[in-house]
Amino acid sequence: MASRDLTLTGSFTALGGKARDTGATITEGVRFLGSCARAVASFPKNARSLRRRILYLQVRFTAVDAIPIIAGLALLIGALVIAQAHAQAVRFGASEALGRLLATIIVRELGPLFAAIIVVARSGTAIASELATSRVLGEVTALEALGVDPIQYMVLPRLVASAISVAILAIYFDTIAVLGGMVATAYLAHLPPVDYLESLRMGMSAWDIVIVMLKGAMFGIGTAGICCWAGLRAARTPAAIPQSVTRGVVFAMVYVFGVSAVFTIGQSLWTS
Amino acid sequence: MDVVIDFNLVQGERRALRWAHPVSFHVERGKSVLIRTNSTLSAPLFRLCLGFSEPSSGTVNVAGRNPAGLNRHDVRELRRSLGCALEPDGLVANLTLRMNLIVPLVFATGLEYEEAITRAESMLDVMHLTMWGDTRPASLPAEVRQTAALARALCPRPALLLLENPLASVDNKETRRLLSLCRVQSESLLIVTHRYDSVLEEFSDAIWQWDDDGFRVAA
Repeated sequence: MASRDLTLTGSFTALGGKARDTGATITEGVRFLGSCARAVASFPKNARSLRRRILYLQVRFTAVDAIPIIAGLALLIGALVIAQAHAQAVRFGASEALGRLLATIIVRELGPLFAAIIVVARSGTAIASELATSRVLGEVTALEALGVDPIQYMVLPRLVASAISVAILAIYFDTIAVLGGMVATAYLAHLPPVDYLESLRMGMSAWDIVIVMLKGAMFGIGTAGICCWAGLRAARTPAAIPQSVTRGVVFAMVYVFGVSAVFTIGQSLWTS
Repeated sequence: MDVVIDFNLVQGERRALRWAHPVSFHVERGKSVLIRTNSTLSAPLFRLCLGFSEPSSGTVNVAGRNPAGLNRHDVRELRRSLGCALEPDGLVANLTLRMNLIVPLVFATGLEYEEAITRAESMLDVMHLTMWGDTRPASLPAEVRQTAALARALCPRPALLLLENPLASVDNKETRRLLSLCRVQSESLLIVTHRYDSVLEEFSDAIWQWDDDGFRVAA
């Protein structure tokens, strides 16, 4: 009986500990957001040209260097979705709707989602590990000691660069996936590219492009913010670096899927 | 008497191990003070000076202000008026040595990027670091890293310089040259060393010994 009580106590203690940790994490996250807002408001005007330089390097790493992997993935996803959809569509005689299907599944949903996942996997891990390493090596403290706001120098350029990069990569992913789909429909469904593009045009509007870019920017700013936060809160021990990366990636993935769900539900409610 | 750093009966940081004996000392404007101690004691000393922590008892004043009592903006302003070369040196690993000097100048001193480049170039020249300007810190020899950390601290032309174990790997002749430069560029210096160093003592107006037996004037 005594051991059962102990187990219960242990369970409640663990539960309480988890709740306290979750509360502390949320408080830290809110504080971090506040620090970012303050850093934006007080960003030094003289740092603009340096910010452009940092931004350029970040966009090059996050977007430009990711182009080959995004292109390969988009081509495969576009072709695979069409191949699978074609197998079902021929049974119902709806091959002409393949373009519209691609617009719905890939352009609106999978494009921004995959672009964000690639950015989390490439740049999110890099951001979290870089900032955690900076913390462990005392670079962040040294900058603070010199009067530099680490949020202004280390976080803000990454947020902006990531927002721009994911928005661009989402559009890029969609474009390549559409091309992949076009090749697949021409080969599998013998649908002329003109008909395919017409079907695609019927399933899309200019708003879709705006929504895709907006979604990409939201994914980018959120994933970079979460990974920066995870990196900067690392304890000053080498073991904290992989922990920060794991925390950053997991939280960023949850954020990406959560925001994607919110967008989809919002769009459904808007159109219904 | 114009005092730039004043420790009065300080016994360590709040929520940390208390020092065995209370510490009281001051640094007058225009003077250089050397403290011989170990890193366990020097790290909290500098954290208190920079407002990273607050004293458990006693008072700390830097440039007439209590760093721990300042808000986020004011403590940053205070830090901007100081120059620090502490341990670890904290040179940013993914920046070249030149950019390590430029970034704090732009973000903390308010210089335009082009002005910061000019200032950094002249500092690299004076410190004999020009040939290392495009090198990242990980590829620098220990003595160059220490000189670079000092260059970064001197770049904003601070009135007060805080140095922890400076130039330990640099030869005596070069140490003398660099310390003379520090005396010219900065009004006041607080140097903490973890070893006996005759060159540092040459450049000090007051020398303190701080160990388990307390904080006292060095013999």
